[in-house]
Amino acid sequence: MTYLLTLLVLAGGVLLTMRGIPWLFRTISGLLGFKFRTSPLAEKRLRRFRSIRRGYISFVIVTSMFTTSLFLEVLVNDRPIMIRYGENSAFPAVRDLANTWLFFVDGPFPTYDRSGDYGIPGEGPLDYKAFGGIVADPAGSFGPIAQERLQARKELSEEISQTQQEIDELLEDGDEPEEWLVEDLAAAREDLKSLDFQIDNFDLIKEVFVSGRASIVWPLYRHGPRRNRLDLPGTAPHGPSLPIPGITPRYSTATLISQTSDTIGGKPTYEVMAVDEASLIPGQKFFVVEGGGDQPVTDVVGILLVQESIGVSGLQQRIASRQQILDAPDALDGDRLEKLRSDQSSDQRLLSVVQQQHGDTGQVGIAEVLAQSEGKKFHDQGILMTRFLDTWEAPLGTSDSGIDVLPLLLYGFRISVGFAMMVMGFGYVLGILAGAIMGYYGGWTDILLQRFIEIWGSVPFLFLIMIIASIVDPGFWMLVIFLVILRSWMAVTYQIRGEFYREKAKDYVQAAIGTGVSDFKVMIRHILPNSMIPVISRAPFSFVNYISALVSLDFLGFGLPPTDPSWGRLLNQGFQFLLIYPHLVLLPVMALAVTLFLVVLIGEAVREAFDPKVFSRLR
Amino acid sequence: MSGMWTYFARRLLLVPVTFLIITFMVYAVLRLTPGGPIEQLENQMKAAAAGEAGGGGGGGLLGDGGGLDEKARDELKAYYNLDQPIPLAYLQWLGVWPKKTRDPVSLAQRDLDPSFWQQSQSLWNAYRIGNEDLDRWVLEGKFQLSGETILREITPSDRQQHPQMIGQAVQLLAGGVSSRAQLDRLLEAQGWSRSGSRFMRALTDEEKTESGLPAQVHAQLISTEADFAALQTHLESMKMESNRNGSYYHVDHAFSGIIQGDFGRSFTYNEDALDVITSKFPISIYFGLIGYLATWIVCVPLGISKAIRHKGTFDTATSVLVFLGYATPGFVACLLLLVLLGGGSYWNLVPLGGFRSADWNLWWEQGEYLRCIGDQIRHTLVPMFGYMVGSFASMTVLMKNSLLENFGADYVRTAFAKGLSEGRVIYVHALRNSLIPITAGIGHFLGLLFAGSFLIEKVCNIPGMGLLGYESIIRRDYPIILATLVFGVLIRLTGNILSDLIWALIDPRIRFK
Repeated sequence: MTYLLTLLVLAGGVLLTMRGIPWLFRTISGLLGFKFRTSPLAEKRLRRFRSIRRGYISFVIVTSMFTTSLFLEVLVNDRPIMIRYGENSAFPAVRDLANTWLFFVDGPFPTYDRSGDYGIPGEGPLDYKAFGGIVADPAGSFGPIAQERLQARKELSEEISQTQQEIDELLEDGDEPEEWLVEDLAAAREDLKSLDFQIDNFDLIKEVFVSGRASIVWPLYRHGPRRNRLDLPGTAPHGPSLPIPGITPRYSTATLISQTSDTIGGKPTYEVMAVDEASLIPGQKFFVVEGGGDQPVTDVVGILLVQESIGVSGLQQRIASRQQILDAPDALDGDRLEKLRSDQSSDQRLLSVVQQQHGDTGQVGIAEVLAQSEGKKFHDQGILMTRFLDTWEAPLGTSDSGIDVLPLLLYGFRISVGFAMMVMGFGYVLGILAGAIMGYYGGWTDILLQRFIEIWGSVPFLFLIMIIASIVDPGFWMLVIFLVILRSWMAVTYQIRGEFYREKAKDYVQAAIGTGVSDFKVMIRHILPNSMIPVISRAPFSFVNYISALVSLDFLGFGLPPTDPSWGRLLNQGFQFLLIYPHLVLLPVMALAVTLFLVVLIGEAVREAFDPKVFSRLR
Repeated sequence: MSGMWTYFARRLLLVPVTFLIITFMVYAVLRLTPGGPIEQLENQMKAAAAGEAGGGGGGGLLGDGGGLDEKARDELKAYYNLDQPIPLAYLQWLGVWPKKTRDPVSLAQRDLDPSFWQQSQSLWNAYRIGNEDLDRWVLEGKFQLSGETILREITPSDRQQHPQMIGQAVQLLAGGVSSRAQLDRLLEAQGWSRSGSRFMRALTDEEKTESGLPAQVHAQLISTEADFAALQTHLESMKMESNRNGSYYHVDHAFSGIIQGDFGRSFTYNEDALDVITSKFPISIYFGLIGYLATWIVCVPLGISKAIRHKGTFDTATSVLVFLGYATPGFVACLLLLVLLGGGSYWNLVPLGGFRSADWNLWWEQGEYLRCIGDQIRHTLVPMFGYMVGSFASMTVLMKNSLLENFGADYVRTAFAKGLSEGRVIYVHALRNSLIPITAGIGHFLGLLFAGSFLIEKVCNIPGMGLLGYESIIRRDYPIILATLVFGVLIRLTGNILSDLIWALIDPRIRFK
C-alpha cells in the first residue's frame, strides 16, 4: 500500500512539474497581461533539448523530485497529516508545511495540539504516536489507561491530604502557612477535579475511540528530519535496516553460549553458535540484544566481534585427533595434559550443545567484546543479531544524534537544491543587471565596474565566509546573501557585458534607440532576450558549484544552523565515524553524486541544444 | 605589442590596490567581530574556573564576574595591538605607521645607570605600597575597580529610590542564564552594573568627599594613580615605561609590519607567524604538485583519445566518468576513498591521513628506504586523487575541445594534404597548438600549490597551509589568519597575471588590451 502511494505521489510530482507548473505560469502571466510568444528559434532549441534523451530525462527527474520535495512535510514527517477526535480535528503536518512556506511571518500556526482536546488527559502537547496507538487498538489500549488514571487519582488525593495536614499543623502552631503551600493545594484540588471529570467521562472518551469517530492519517514515512528516533533500541548511530548491498551487513542471528575464561587483549570473550557456517564468519559484528527471536528487540546491550569459528565436522575432527594424543599421554608433562583435557571437555560440551541446537550444519565460534553497556550482563543463551531492526524501521539508519537518515537526505535535497536555486537566481539578476549596465553604457561606468569586479573577484570568499560564520551562526538566507554578494553575481557579468556590447551595435537596437525607446526598455525588451544563451547554457554548471559550496561549508561547520537537515553535516558525522558507520558517508555521498550527476547531464544537454559546437571531422 | 605591455602594466598596478582593499576588509572584519583573542582567553579562564568546583574566589587576574579585570584587559589589548583604532592598527600592521614596541630592560642595562634605577625603584615602591593599601580597602569595602572608577554595592537608599527596577532586576537575576543579558541591559540603562549577584554603581560625588571608607578609597586611588604617573614621567625621559606588575620596558616607535617582514607572533603557536607559515609550505607544495602532475598525466591522454574517438563508444563511456568527476567535489572523493580503503568496513590499503607515519624519520635513519617510500606513497594516494578529481573534468574537456577545434583548422587539412601520417598530424601539429590553453592554467594552479585546499587537507589530515588556515580561523589566531590571507591573495593575484602572460607569450594570436 505504501509503495503504491509512493509511486502515486511521484507520478503526481512529475505531472505537476511537467503540466501543472507550465500551465500555472502561463495562466498567471496571462492574467498579468504578458503574452508568451516563443520564437521559432527557441522552439527549435527546446526540441533539440528534448531529443537528447539522457539530459531530458535527468531534467524531468530532478525537477519532479524538487517539486515533490516542496510538499515533504506532508509526505515524510513525524506528525500526522490529520487527526480527528469526535468534533475536533487538526492537520499538524499541513500546518508544518504552511509554517515552512510562510517563513517570513513569525510562526503563523501552532506547532502542537493540546492533549486534552483529543481525549488524552493533560494540557501538554498531544503525543501523536500514543494517539495513533489508541486509534489502532482502542479496546486493547483502554484497560491500561483506565488503571493509570485511577492510580493517578489515588496519588493525587494522598498528596492533597498531606498538604492539608501540613497547613493545619502550621495553623495550629499559630504560624501563617507559606503562600506557595496554599497555592499548591488549590492547584492540586483543580487537578483532582479535572481528573475526576475525566474518569467520569472515561466511558465517553472510550466510546469515541471504539465507535471509530477518532482517526489519524499518517504521512508516507512517519519520521521527520529533526526529532531523534528514541523508539529504536540501542544507541545512535544505527546502521541501515534496509538490506543495501555493500552497506548493510547480511542478516544473520547467533546464540551466545557462555563466557570463556580466556581474554583477547584484556577483553572478555564468549562462545557463540549459529545455525550454519555462513552465519558465523570471523570478522562479523553481532549486536547482543535483549528480547529478539520471536519477541521484538527491546534493548541492545553490547557488540561482539567474531574471532574464529568452526563447524560441527571440524569440531569432531579436532576432538578425534586430540583424543589420540590423550590416549597415549606419556609424552606430555602434567600441565599440558591438564590443558588438553580441559580443552577436550570444553570442545565436547560445545559439540553436544551445538548438535542439539542446530544439528550437523551448526557452527560454533569465539567472539570478543567490542562494546558493552554499563551495568548490563550478557545472558547465557542470549540472542545475537547482525541487524536488530525490521527492514523498514529505519531503512537508512540514523545519524549520530539519532535522527533518521532517510528524511535527512530528502529534506537535505530540498534545502540544497533550493539554496542553489536562490543563489543562482539572485546572483543572475544582479549579474545580468551589472553586465547590462557595463555593456550598454560602456565608457567610465564600464571601466570602473570592471576594476571593481577584478578586485572583488580576488577576495578569498570561502575564507571570508568562514571568518564571519565562525562568529555569527548564519541562517539559510544569510548564507544565500553571502554567496550572492561575494561570488555568484560575478559569474555571468562578463558574458552579459560582452553580449550587450555586441548587440548594442546592431541595427535593430540602434533603430529602437532612434525611435526614442527608453534605455531600460531597450535593455530589457530588445537586447536581453537575444543575449541569454550563454547564461542559460552555463546555469546548470553554476548550480553544481553552489550545491558543492553549501556542502563544503556545512561539512566544515560554517553553514546552516545545526537544526537544519543538511548533507554536509551528515558527511561530517560520517567523517567522525569513518571506520565504524560507513553508511553515514556512503549515503550522503551517493545522494550528492547522483543529484549533481543528473544536473551535469542536464547542463551538457542544454549546452548542446542551445550552443551547439559542430566540429569538423578529421578528414 | 606595446598595447599588451600597457595592459599587463595596468594589471600589475591594480595588484597593490586590490591587495590593500582585501586585506583591509578582512582586517576590519576580524577586528569588528566579537570573539577575539582576549575573549577566547576569558572563556578559557571561565571554563577553568567552572572546573574548580566552588573555586574559592578567582583572585589575581579574574574579576568577580569571572572575566579579566580592567587593567589586565588593557595590558592584553596593548600587547595584541587591539587598543588602536582600526585604520591606524591596519597601517601599523602594514608597516607604514610606527608601532610602539616594548623590549624588556635587562639587568645589565640597569647597572649602567644605578642612580636612575634607584630613583625609579623608590617611585615604584611608593606606588606599590599605595596600591596594596588600595587593594586592601577595596576588598574590605567589597568595592570593585573598573579603570579609574570605583564601584560599590547599591545601598538600601538606592533600593528605596528605585523599588520597581530593583524588583525587576531581582526577578531577572533568578531567571537563569538566559535572562542575564536582559538584566545587564536594565542595569546599564540606570548606569549600574553587576558583579555576580550584587548590583554595583559608581561612587557619587558626595560619597567621594564625605568621610568614610568610600572617600578613603577614592583618595587612595587618586594618589596611587598619581604615583604611577610620576613613575612613568620619570621613566619617559629614558624612553622607558613600566607596567603595573613592575616590569620595565624600553619603548620604541618603529615601523614594523608585513612590509618589514614582521607578521606578528601567532597566538596559539607563540612563534613568528611567518615561520609557522613557511614551515607549512613544503607539505602543501608536495601534495599540490603531485596532484597537478597526476591530473596532467591522466587528463591529457584521456582528452586526446576522447577527441580522436569523438562521439564514439569510448568517448561516450568516458564522458560518464568526466561528468561524475565534475559532480563530486574533491574532498568528498577523499572521504569516499577513506571509507572504502581506510580499513574500516571494506579494504585496508591506505592510512587514514597525515603526511607520513610517525616513525618515518626513524625508518629513514635505519636505512629502510623502501619502507619509507612505500609509506609516503600510501599517504599520498588519497589526497592526490582528491586534487585530481577537483580539476579532472574541466581539464579533460578543455583538452578534448581544444584538440577538436584544431582538427577543424586549415593547417591540419594542409598537413593531411601534404600526405603526412595521421599520427604525425595529430601528435605533432594539432597537439602542440591545443596544449596552449591548458598550459596557460599553470598560473592559476600556483594558488592551490601554496595554499592547499582547506577541505582536502582537513579530510586527509595533512598539516599544510589549508589546515593551518582553517585552524587559525577556529582559534582566532589573527596573525596567522592575516598571514595566510596575505600569501593567498598575493599568490592568486600574481598567478592570474602570470597565466595570462604565459598564454600571451606562447600563443602569439592572443592579444590583451
